[in-house]
Amino acid sequence: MSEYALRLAGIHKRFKSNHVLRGVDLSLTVGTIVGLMGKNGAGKSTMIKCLLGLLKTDAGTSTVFNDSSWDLTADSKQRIGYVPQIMTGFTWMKVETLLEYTGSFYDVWNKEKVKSLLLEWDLNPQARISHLSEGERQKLSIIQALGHEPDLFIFDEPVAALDPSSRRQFLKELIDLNMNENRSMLFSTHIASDLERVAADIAVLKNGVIAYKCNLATLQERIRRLHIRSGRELPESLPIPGVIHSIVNRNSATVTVDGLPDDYVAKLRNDLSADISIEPLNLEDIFLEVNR
Amino acid sequence: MDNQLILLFQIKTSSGIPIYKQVIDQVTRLVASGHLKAGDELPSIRQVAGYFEINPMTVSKAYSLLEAVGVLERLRGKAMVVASDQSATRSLKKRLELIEPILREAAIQANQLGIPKESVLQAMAEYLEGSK
Repeated sequence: MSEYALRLAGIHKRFKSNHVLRGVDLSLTVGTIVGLMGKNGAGKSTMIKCLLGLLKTDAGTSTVFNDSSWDLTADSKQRIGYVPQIMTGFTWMKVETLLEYTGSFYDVWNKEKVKSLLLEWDLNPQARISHLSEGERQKLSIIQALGHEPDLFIFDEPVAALDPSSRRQFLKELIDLNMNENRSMLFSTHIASDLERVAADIAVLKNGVIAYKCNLATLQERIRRLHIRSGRELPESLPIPGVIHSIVNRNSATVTVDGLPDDYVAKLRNDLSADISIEPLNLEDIFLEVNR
Repeated sequence: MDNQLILLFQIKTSSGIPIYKQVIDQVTRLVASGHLKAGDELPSIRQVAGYFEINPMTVSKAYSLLEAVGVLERLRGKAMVVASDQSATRSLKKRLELIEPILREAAIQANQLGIPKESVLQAMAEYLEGSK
């Protein structure tokens, strides 16, 4: 039996006339890392805030560890580590003071872990937050969310301002946490290559719903690009099921497909008397294709 | 203790080829070519995931599929080793399968460039001699 770390069902959220979430369904099994992708303004942060009970939904149910998001118990809150997109407040504090202050809210606070991360990530505990760069603030925000050893991490674009080596350190930390303690994670980011490393599943938020949610490898096997070159002129509309996007120009065509079986490609080679090569797509390309 | 065999892997995250497939392909090649021999122990899932900073489930999936097709065996503990019977993996048919994609691609390009078959085969024969 798999247990859910979080579960959204039929979530709707409106801001005046802007209907942002239009029936979001998403669940995350304990111990998995799900990568959340979506264009700017797709509603990723809104969805995350509904999940955390920071925004009230208009319809649908949202639970974290079987606890309603809007009425999270203290116990469930202790199990969540949230890294917001933008760190606000407390800029007059020193790094160390903020972390001590944060720690005072939790039953558990792993001082050793916090200390070693500060050292590893090159953050001066005595520095005033107002003097930190954006990247340093993100690091601090991540450490703040790790200290109480949560079971579920929710990252809302945690690495946008981090340099490549800090990002890799962060990913390593995620993998360690996931591997050693079976921690669950929802990881929203625009950096597709990071998700290719750490995410088991990918969820794409588009037009207010989760348009895709599946295993990353499965997604890569489903969404591929065909390059077709024929000896004769190709029909305007190609007889191919599951076309996401296609460009036909006389004898050649480029077609992105979702879930076309290999034996169908063989059949097409015959039917169109064409050379067809299959281009695998990386996650960034897939994201661009499904958001056309 | 680190398993040095990990250095034989090359994982490319943005190539479009799913990572589990890259692992399967590379292990199969290493076994088919005799670089990995029956009984050789593979790096643990934990080690591969940590080293390449990739999701451990991906590595686990690759190892399980390699076990299912008889390339690897799971020892009673949990270590994965190269299976004792490698006749299938090392068969000529299997080894040919591994170069099929490049051969197909070469054929497509040769056709597009209008190179006669004899010239392609001639060139291939020379490369085969040259790389011995």
